[in-house]
Amino acid sequence: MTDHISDLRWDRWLAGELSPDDTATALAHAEQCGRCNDRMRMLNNERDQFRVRPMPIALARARRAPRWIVGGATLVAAAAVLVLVLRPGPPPFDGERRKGSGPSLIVAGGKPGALLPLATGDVIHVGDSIQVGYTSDRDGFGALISRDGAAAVTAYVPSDGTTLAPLPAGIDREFPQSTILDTVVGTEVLYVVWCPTAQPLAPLLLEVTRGALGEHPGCQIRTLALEKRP
Amino acid sequence: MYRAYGHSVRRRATQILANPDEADEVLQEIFVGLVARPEQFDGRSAASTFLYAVTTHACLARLRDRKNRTRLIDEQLRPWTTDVDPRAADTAAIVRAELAQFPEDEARAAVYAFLDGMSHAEIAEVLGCSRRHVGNLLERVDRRITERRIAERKEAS
Repeated sequence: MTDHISDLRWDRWLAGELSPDDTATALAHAEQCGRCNDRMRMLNNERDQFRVRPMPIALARARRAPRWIVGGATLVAAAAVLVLVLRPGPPPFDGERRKGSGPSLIVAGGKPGALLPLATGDVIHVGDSIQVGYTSDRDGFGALISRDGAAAVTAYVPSDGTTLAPLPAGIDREFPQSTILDTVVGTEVLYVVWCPTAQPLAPLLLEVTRGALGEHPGCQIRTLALEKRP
Repeated sequence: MYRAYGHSVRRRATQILANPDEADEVLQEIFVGLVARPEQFDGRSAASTFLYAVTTHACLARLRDRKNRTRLIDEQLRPWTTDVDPRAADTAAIVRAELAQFPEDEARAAVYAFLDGMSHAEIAEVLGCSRRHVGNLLERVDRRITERRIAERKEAS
């Protein structure tokens, strides 16, 4: 149809499917052809922008086969919601670090009615609300700790008290509190903690302040680094 | 795979459906389907080729929905965004409006030729047929487009 480089060829190039010869031919053409050069750059940018988009929640659900939390009043009221689900079985998100054993954690977020799963590297925004949920076949205790772009360490859950929040066994249960994200932008690291016994909160906060949470016997800790933007 | 190829699936679905929201639905459907039935992709073709075919199929199925067909005919068509071959811009608009009316094989060939700007060789690869067959399919599409233009001129006069 045309002597120009088709989108299929650029898509193959972006995916690393083109042979070295075909790549050289395509790039040589683009050097001489303004339209193809523009197209190549546009598709490249489009790919980069797509990669930082949150993954659709249905896809994450399919990947991990969990049951997602049905939002309660706090979820509906929130501008955007992050949901953390504790559940045995499904593998962790790409790029997410996990320490210890116990229920698996799944992280998702999104506008009410359209929760989006989050993986390390995903983008969240100022004003988003955080809600934690879990599914566990045994009683436990949990916390959600944040270190924001200004290195401030905060316990989102429990927001008050000195020990981890009690988490009765159950399916698709919610952590006791939700949080609205503040205006500090940059990389925000979330630590999701689940322990079978009550633990004091202060040592965990101190540990995060000093660097990162290490292993705690019997507990499971998930770490998720997100990009918070205005 | 979603991170590596999702952008092209979404872009093509948007181009074919002229509706970003529906394109997102198609994107989701395709990858959720792949997670549920990974055997769909047997590795005999490149992943990009496979996803081009799957995306085209999913979009054409939507276009055949009566509601979508009515919407496309009624709405003002957006200009073709790829702009691979500006000479075919008018043809692309007609093709997009008429896709739902074409037989399946012609519709697929029309998408690849007039919307994706692919060569006959590339179309043959994605369709899994000969270049001659691609030529035949596109000749039929050309005839349909010509008939459509004649009919439009008659209506206008």
